[in-house]
Amino acid sequence: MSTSTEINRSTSTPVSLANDRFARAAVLVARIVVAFLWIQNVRWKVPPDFGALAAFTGFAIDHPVFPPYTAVVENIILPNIGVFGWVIVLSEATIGAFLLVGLFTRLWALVAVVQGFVIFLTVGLTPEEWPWSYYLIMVGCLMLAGVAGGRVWGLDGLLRPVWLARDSVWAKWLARAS
Amino acid sequence: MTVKSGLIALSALCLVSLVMLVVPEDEAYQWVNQSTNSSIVFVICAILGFVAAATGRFAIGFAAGAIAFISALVQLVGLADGGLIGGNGSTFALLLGVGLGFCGLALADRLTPVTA
Repeated sequence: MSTSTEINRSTSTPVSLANDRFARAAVLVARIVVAFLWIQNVRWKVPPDFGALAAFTGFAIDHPVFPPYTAVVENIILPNIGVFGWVIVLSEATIGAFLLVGLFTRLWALVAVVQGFVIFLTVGLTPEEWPWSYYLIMVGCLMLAGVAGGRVWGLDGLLRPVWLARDSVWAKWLARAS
Repeated sequence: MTVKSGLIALSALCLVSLVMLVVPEDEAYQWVNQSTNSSIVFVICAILGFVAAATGRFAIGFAAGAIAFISALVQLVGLADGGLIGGNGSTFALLLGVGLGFCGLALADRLTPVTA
């Protein structure tokens, strides 16, 4: 027999991010701080020679995490650091920019997870580095993708309803990215 | 969030970022590098953003985004030596974000129906 103090699980309102002010504030703060993590770290990757980035990438050879990746770094990335440096600068700046304004947040947060993993493969076993910082980067970005952080005070929250209302392939993909 | 509140928030972010002018160039504290010229760009964007929010003419917000985008492009071209804008890659990334934000808000205003 049920009592009045028992929770009626069939009719109680589920706790959701959308209804929880603290959760929404936490997601917003996390998104902004993670965005600035990526934004700030573009600063030391300076063209045209990307000297500091080349030295950083070289740790993958000195302290290999995954030998096949080390071979890629040694034979492809470092000899062409002038090209890969630009790819890294543009990708990390773009990750930061999109996360900052909460546009296509799921997509860019997942790109950030991949980039975080690549950085871990590069310096994960370097003595001066703390591997958990890269785990935290990956998990932080994974959480932003999971909770779709751009729907809280972000452009995704404004534009996603538009994409969902449209019946086109493009709109569906944009909605998925948000 | 509404388009108007988004414009106000993004404009405020532009102004708050100017604090970095007086923050030591240290990884722990300086989240983005600001130069005199980049500060002028962010102030212009902020003013346009506030005006767009106050007047409801969100095309002005789009203009703010265009200015930020063009500045980001100039910054990217001159990334090796600071170029015309000054600052570094972090300045470029923030300009890119501000450009995306203002243009996205103006676009959202065009695409979303006005509700009473």
